[in-house]
Amino acid sequence: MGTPAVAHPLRALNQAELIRLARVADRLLSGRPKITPGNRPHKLRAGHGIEFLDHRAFMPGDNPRDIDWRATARSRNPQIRRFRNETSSDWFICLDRSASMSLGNGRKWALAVQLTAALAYLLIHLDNRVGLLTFSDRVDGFKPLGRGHHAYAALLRLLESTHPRTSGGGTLLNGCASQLQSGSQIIVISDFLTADSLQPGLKLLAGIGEDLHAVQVLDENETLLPQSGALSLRDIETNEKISIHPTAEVQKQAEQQLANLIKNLQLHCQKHQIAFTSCTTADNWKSILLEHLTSLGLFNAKP
Amino acid sequence: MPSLESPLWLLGLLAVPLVWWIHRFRNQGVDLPVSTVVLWRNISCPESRGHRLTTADPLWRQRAIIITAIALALTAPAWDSLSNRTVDAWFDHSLSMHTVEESGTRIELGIQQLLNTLDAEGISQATIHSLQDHSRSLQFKSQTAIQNREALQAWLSAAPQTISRPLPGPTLPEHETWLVTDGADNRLQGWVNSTGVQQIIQVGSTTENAALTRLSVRPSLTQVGFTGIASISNQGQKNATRWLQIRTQEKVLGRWSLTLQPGETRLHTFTAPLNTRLIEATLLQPKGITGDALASDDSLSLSIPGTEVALTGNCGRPMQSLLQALPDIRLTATASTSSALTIVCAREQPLTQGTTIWFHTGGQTQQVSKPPFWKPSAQRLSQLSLQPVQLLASDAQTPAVGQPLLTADGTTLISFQSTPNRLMEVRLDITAPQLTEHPAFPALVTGLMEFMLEHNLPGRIHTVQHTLQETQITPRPLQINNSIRPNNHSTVTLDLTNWFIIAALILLLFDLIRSRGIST
Repeated sequence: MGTPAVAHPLRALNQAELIRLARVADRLLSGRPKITPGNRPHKLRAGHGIEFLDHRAFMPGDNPRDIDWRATARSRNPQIRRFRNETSSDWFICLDRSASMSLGNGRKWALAVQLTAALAYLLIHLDNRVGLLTFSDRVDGFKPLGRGHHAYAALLRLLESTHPRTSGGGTLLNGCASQLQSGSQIIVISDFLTADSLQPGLKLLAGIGEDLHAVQVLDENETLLPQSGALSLRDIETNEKISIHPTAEVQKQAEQQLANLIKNLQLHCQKHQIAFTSCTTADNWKSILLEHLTSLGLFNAKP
Repeated sequence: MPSLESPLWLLGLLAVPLVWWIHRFRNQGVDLPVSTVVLWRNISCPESRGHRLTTADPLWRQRAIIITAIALALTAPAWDSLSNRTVDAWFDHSLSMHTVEESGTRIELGIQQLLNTLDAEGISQATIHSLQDHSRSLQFKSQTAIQNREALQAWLSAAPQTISRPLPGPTLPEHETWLVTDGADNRLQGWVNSTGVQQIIQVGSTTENAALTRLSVRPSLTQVGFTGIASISNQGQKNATRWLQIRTQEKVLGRWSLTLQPGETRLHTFTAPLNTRLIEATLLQPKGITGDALASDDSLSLSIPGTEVALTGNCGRPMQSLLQALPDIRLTATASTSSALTIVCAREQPLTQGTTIWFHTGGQTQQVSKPPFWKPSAQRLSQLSLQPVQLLASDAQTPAVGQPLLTADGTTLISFQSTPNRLMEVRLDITAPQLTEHPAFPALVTGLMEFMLEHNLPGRIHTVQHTLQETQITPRPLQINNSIRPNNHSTVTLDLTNWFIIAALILLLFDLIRSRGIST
């Protein structure tokens, strides 16, 4: 496995942009901006705690004990009290380094690494403990949970030394289950381009973690084939081969097939309350994170 | 002319459709890694059907040519050049080949068909061998067909009428071997099987033939003269009616009508006078019946050889009468070079050069009182028993010539010398009635003659015959044994195996280079 000649994708991460994104994350995740500069001493988001945060409308599934009857009487709608989450969370980022992530001239892998690093920065900035797993058909690399700059630096070193496989292997998410701690928050970054879209693995991890996030990273030309005669399409992971004559019709059907895969994966995630975001290499890591955080806020708004 | 030594390998060409079928599954085009083939696995469109291609990889043609070249190489192909063909033709001129067909004899038909075949196949060099006389051969060179025909006819007409000679040994000829025959000889199929005969020119279709197969005579045991037997056989498939005529040089002895069933052999007896020297038996065609297909076996001629004996001197009437009564004896008065035996009756030793029996006469005689004894050298003469009282020795005082054969009372009665000429001296008085009227006298004389001639006189059987095999004219179908291939040096054979192997290797090399170019 050779190191790409191009600059490592982590170089593209701008510290200032990460800080600005962290502020946005603060607002999105905790509901109020940070008052004083410096590191945040407490988690400022809804959760288990004793300090009142705000009210919100009662949703099916909420604990009736959390209903604030006075506020309900004022608004004539059931309102529940939310409290500041005074406990920090443990986050595991599972990064797919299977061979399929190496395609697309390395852009897919670069975007996945950038997303991983950015998420780790945000989570550590929010005073969470973050761990990192790289996996293919097994767990290839593991960085235990850590907090603070040192943990972030160690995580970056692991990312810098990690490269996707060039061929063979596979993508098996189930192997990560043994490394994850129950009740932790899990983020899976992968292209999910397998026959089962890693749905069994996602389902397994959803039962382990408190929250599960899935970020699908695809190449913008995932289905684009050169229109130069017959092709032998080889699955870079399974080495399965298909001979094909690329035509516009074939291209269209492949795109449709990819859209169906994404749609099915999205439905699967909704079914198992998994926060899902799909992106391509045409997108910027910041916009992807903002989109995901936004959807996360909406998802968290649900009971 | 192309030829294949192992044509069964051509079945390998059946693999060509398999090659085409396999190439529909071959990965075609440029290898392109993708994240997953799931996106294209179920795509169905006119140009593509997932795993299987609607059109085979064009490379299948090259692979099919390679398979074909290998299969052809395994068949050991060769190209036989016909420019210098030389033929050894064995010509059957046995008795059955003289059978007359509608358009001529079988020999004539064989000559015509042989020349036509040689001309049709463009063969100018041929050697004709006699199937009956292996030492005789005739070589055709670059002559015209007419010259070859005349030469072959003359060669066959000069061939002796051989009787049932063995066929040539199964030696592998150096040249292409042909056989011209009617197939009547039942030994021919075995000979063809053991010999590399590559072409058979078979002539003749006639099957009807009645033949005189045997004629034999012997002195009659009951009367003066000869008794003879003629054997007639019908080798055809229909009834045959013939006249059998037997005659001597002087007169016809008899003529009998015979009707024989198919395959029947009948014996007919006849008698001939004692002085007969030649007997001819002939089968004649009755009027209104078509001629016999093979006339050569319709007659047999038997000559009865006689022994010329010269009788000189005064041997007396009894001796002369006895010699004239012997059937195989031709008696002459003077000795000549043709005389097989000379009988001399004289007192002095004769000066003849040939085999001689000298009866000592004219001297004094004396009665032999004691029984005579045959010496061991007398051989069969010792079986004769002579009474001593009847023997008279003549000139017993003079010494006898040669070794004694019969002695009595110290007197040599018969002696014999082999050099300088075979001479037997007999000192018995052949004029004495005690001897000439004795029943043993003819046996004694003929015994002495047989001793000197070294063969028996009476009871000889004379025979001449045609064998049934010779008179069989029905053609039998002959099959060529293809398993034997002659060492045909005249045929230029170009082995094409290596060319096909080289072609296959070149194509394989191109295929390998192309495959590596695609993979890189």
